[in-house]
Parts: sequence; structure tokens; C-alpha cells
Amino acid sequence: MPPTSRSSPVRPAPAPAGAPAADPAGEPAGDPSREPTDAALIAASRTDPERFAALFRRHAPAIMRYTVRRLGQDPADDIVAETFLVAFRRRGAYDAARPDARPWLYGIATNLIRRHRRAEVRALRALARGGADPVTEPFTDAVEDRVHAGARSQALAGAIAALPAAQREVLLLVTWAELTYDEVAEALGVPSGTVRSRMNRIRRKLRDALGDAADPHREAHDG
Amino acid sequence: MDELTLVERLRSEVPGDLDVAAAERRWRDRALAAPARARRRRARRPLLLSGVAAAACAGVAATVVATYQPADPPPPPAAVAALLDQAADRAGADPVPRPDQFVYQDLIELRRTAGKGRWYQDRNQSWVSVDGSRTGLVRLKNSIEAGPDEGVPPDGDSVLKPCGQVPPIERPYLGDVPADPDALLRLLVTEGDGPRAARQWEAATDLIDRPAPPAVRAALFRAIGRIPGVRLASDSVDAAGRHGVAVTRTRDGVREELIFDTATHRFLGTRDIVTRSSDQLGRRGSTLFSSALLRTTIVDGVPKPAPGAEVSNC
Repeated sequence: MPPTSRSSPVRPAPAPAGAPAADPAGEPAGDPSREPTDAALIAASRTDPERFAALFRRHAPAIMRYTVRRLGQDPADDIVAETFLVAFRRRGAYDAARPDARPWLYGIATNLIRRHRRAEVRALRALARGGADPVTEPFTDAVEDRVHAGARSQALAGAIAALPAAQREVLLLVTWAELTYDEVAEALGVPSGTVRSRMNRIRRKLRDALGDAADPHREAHDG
Repeated sequence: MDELTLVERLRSEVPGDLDVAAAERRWRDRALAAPARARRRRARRPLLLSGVAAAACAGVAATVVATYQPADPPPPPAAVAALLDQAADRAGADPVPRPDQFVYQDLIELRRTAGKGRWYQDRNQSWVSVDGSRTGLVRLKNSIEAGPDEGVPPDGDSVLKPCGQVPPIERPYLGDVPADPDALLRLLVTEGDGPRAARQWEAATDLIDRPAPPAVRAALFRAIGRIPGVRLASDSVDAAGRHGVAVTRTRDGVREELIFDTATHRFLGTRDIVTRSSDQLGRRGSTLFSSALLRTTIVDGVPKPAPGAEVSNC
């Protein structure tokens, strides 16, 4: 698999509206080119708050998956609700020049997830020691599927747990939220250059933790 | 294999179609249940919760706080408590209305339109029934003609229906809001998000310009003096340009200031200042928002609402 540039990951370009869905606020479903941008929904919601619900439905599933992946299911409902509540309260100040609200929403969620830092690190360390992963446990039904993580995943979990929180956030926004470097910069309120240099440091640390032999192909494409 | 691909695979068993219905209910209860126009709020402060949602929120706050508690900042210096005691003494001497009367307030707020746009003032006049049994009024007038994308609620009147089941914090004249600073602090701490002191401050500052019995306002000022992290600023300016001394608390790059008249210790208004430059909020030292409570008096009646007035909860 050819390495992709992390500054613009290969993924389907999001339609301005994201996944089409039935929207009781009255937008036509099924045709992405006719659905409003996030910015348009937010602008409309300033005078008609119910319109914000369409933004919730559009992005909550992804924010939920991200939150569960980081912290497990227990705190996730509250964090997702809180993310959209904070967003709703701040909607008056949303920058209309940004059609896609995901960086904004992920930024808010990241702040809320930060309060659970100790629990997050504890679970990663448990995984690193070869224990079961409390996060994925509910999603692996059959006993035979509940294999404990391989050595590489354990080392990886340990390395992620050991990262400073700010670096962990950058890493997981890139890999789990699938944001571009610019989007991560927007989400965290830092310059793009900072995201890039943090990712370089993070990748070095991960490689060291995994103890991989140098891969000449990979070195040629790193950036 | 690329180390980032390994990270991508980690916990990829978590499905993408998790049920968000419970989260949506919680969000809706807190975001959409509160009246849209009856009372304007500063951009950063949360709306106070209406009764049903308050219980759910107490659970949320407990969940969040249980896992991560930063160390509280040190208690406020003595000068803060001294100022707030004087403000409390002054507020406590205000006249007490009859239940059938109204509290009239004339409040102006200075803020920017959406997306850090142009500055404007909005004037919020309110007539609030003391015992909640009579119809009240909120009258909003902006200093500008705002365009549709500027995020400015339109001018106009909102009729406040008589109160049904309303929790005490929303209407201090009605419920069991204690007139004791420590009891008040205990009540305040159940609302909002974040560390304990931050929640107390948010709830207290949200109450500070609402009509309330003089004894409760006095207790509120004293209670603010007991919140960790509160400091004194020797000069601040409210939305009407009046200077005063302020008690302040800083969080998330914003310093929120409660301004008092230097001579009379009457509460004047509020101001929010950016303490840390960011794209979202702007340059350090810039003003985000300010308010000025121009007048609070007791009146016997309410003006006739303008045609097209909305109807709001009490």
C-alpha cells in the first residue's frame, strides 16, 4: 500500500453536506449538492435554533465513534451531548467562512475529552500490559474474537499512553478523526506548522516504541 | 507497516453507527428547552438550565468531575472579600417589592455580530413579575440593522407568561434561593460544566443581573468572594462607559469582570477581556463583551406589548 500524504489523507471528498439524511428541518434528502453547508445550517440556527439539530444528526455519529474510541462508551453520551451544547451556545460566533464544522466540533470534543485524561491513559496502559481493552470489549462478542492484542498493538498502546496529551490529541485527530493537518490546526487553535512538527516527533516516538527496522521505502516517502 | 496505519487500526472495531439517540435527547433538553428570547446571555456563559434538565445535568457534572479534578486556585485575597461585603451591604439595603409588583431593569450589552464582526449595542428592558403570577415583558432593541447572517436576534417584544414549575435559580424571587452565602454556593455548584469553582462562578455571574430579593443579592455578592480564583482589578469599564473597580476570574483565556461603582459599591455591569490571543477570540487585551445595568426599580405595571410580540416562558 503506497504511503499517503498525511496532510491530505486519501478519503472521499466530503460533499458540502456530509452524508444525506432525512432532515425534518425541511432540507431535501439524498442530493448532496443541494444540501446546505454546515456554516449555512449554523447561520440559520441563530434565529431558528431547531435548525441546529440537523448539524447534530450530521456529525454526532462520527464524534460519538471518536469519543468512544478514546474513552469507551460510559462517558460518551454525555460528552457528545456536551459537545453539541457548547457548539450550540457558541453558534453566534461561528466563522461563516468555514463551510465544514468538523474541526470546530472536534476541537470542542477534544477539550471535553481532556478532562478524562487519567481514565484514557489507564485504559491504554492496561491494553499495553496485555490485558483486555475495555473500549473494544463491548464490540467483540464471540469468545474466540476476544484475543488479546498482539505485541505490536500493545507496544503501540503503551507509546500512545506515554505521549504528552497535546501530542496524543494531534495523533488521534489525524488517525481516528481523519482530519487533515490544517483541520487539526483549526480544531486545536494552533498553527499548521505546529501540527506538522508534532506529527514528525510523534511518528519518531511510535517507530522507536515499535522497534521496527528502518524501511528504506518508508524513509523515502516520509514527510 | 506504517506506524500511522497501525494507529488507524487500533480500536477500529468500534462501529461507526453507534446509537446517538440518548446523546441527542440530552443535547435537546439543554439546548432547545430554554426560552430563545426572554433573556439574552453573554456569548461565553451557558444558559442556566430549566428544571427537568437540571437533574440530568447534575449527573453529567458528577461524571465529568469524578474522573479529573485540577487543583483549585488559591482563595481570593482579603481585598476581594472586603469589596464584595460593601457591595452586599449596599444591595441588602435595596427596597423589597410587593409580590404583585414588577422589577423593571434596563440593561445594555455591547457585543459583536457573528464571526467577530461589527460592534453593536442591544438594549434589554425587562418587566418581571415578582411572584410570577402576572404576565411580564422583555423588550429588545439593537443599535444596528443587522443582516440575516450576522447572528443578531431581531428587535421586538417578548411576553413572559406567568410562571409554572420553575426552578429557584431561574427566578430568585420565587423559589428557595438561600440568603446565606455558603448555602447559595452549594446550590450554585450543581449547574454548568468544568471544575467546581468555575461552575460556581458561571452560575453566580449569570445570576448577578437578574431581579432577586435584596437579601439574596447580598448573599450572592458575599458568596462570589468565597470562590477560589477571584481577584481584584482596580479599574474596569462597563458598556455604558462607567468606570469602577472589579472582581475578576480568568478561565480559558478570558477574564470575566464584575464591575462595581468605586464610591457607592453599586453593581454596574460586566466586561470580558481576552487574556490569551487566539484565532477564535482575538488579540490579548481586547474586549469580547460588556454589559451595563442602567436601572433597576420596582414598578406596578407593564407596558402594552408591541404588535407581533412573541410569547416566552416566564
